[in-house]
Amino acid sequence: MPKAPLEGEFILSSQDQKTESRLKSKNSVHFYSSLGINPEGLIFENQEQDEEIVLLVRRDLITNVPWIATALFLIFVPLLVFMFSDLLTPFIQVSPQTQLITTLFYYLIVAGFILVEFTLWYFNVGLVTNRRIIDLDVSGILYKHTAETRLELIEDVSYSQVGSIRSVFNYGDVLIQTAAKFANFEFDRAPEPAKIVRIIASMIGGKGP
Amino acid sequence: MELIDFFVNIFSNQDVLFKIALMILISIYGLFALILTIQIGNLNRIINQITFSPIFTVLAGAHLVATLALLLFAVLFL
Repeated sequence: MPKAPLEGEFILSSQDQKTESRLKSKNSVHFYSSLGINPEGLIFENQEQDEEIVLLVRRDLITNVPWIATALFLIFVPLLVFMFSDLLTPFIQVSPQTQLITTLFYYLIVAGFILVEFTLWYFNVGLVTNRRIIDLDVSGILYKHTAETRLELIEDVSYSQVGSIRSVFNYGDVLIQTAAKFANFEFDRAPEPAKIVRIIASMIGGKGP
Repeated sequence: MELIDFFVNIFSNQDVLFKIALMILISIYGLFALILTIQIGNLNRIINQITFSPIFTVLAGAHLVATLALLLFAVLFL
């Protein structure tokens, strides 16, 4: 006997209700937050009077691991040099004062590296408000690109999650497609992409994935 | 002749050469630190997270001040 086709609305996750409740209340965001739902204490340039931020999206926190590991390695490099200083002494003959300044300068460069990498992560944000979507891309200290579109112009929202690391840590690329003459938006390596898609889809009147 | 001797002295002494190179590098780095501080200030105006943006601006400023202090220290004591 053939089974009747399934009908009705399916509850995909019990977290839907949690998200709904979080959407209604303001939530505090930290400097290390990669996803803020209804964030509190956040304003942006050209924000309209009754415009409210619904989503703050940064790259997932786990994507910072490579530069943090590099910074940790760089912090310990002078100790390694110090351990093997006997080997270098015949070739490099500088006064202790110069060595001290060089070491301090080296650590200043490491601090600069950390500051730049954090800046690139911190300011690479996607904002979803009750009126529009704003994408701020900062890919270098001297390069920034801002794009925005109204919610009415969004045609489709989807996400892709390719690879084991992305699946394990639950992050992926969220693609927001607008009408053909406008550019598409992408929230690169965003955390919990399914949740982001669901929220944006509910705002534009769709049902999401 | 004295001028030539002066340059010969500099290039024969590794420490002096190292000090000159260090001061030039710190000066260039100072310029980078200044640009970084200005950019962080500008970006903080675009996205302002009220609890953290002032701290971030101060951190960037401290980085610039540390660079200038190191340059001053290098010029005075090397």
